[in-house]
Amino acid sequence: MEDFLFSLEDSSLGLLISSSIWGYPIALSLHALGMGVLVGISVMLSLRVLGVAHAIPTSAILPFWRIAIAGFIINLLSGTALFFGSASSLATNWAFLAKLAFLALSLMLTFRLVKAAYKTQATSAETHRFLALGSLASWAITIVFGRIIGYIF
Amino acid sequence: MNEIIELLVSSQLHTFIISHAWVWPSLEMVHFLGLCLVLGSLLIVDLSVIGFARGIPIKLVDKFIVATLIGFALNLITGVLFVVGDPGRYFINIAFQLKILLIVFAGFNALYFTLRVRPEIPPGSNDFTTLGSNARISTALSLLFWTSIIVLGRFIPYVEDL
Repeated sequence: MEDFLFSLEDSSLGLLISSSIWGYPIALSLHALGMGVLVGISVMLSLRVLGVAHAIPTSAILPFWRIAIAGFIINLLSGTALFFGSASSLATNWAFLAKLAFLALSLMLTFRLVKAAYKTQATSAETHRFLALGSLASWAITIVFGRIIGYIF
Repeated sequence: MNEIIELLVSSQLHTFIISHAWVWPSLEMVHFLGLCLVLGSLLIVDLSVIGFARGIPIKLVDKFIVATLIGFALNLITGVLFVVGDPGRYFINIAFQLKILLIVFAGFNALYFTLRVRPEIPPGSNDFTTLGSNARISTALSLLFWTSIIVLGRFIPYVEDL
């Protein structure tokens, strides 16, 4: 396992992040932008369900979900690059592992929210509110753990 | 400039920020959450005006601006606390200086949109084609400014030798 993680760090992508001058800040900047797009729009989708801008039909807001997915792809790519840069220390960083767990939970809750409140409207308003509050809380926790990574590095 | 730095460094607030290890990372967490509120809400408002989601009544879409304002307030407060906590580091930093300049530009652009563009939108209008090109330019600039502000903020620690 350790050999594998070291081989990621020694790959050209790993070295681009860890040893070039601008590789790391460029990947970090893309990661912050992708976060703003993915989490920002997910938060707006939750807020709409909770009553903000309730006069706008949910079907009219649905196209923005595609933008959120674009943000996710930016962060999957930039996050993978950042992981390659310090694979061996990140793999044992508890904040990084907690962030990944809450990221999975946040994505699952947001996907369910979009399906339930924006695409089908089959389930109750109660369920929609629960998913909206859950995804808001989960995204906030994901960001908190993401910030802690650098402090226990 | 040095006098301002000395004044800030001698403040009780400065002492508080640097003497508790939890303060700085907590401020960063709030700053990142505020970033999401600002960018997420502006993507919806600005892209709607540009014509991305045609079903949205433009007169209503700026209800999301409440999220922008809350996010901006959070980031103004946490941002000021970063500067008070480490003034000598920020004032001389080229990425920080450019970031503040672009925030001022973004502020004037938002003022222009609110005072000159928005009043021209007829109530209940969904028809984005009636908007003048100044509406699209102003909202496109808004997204350009805010993405640049995020990137410049992220670059602050990496341009200290420039």
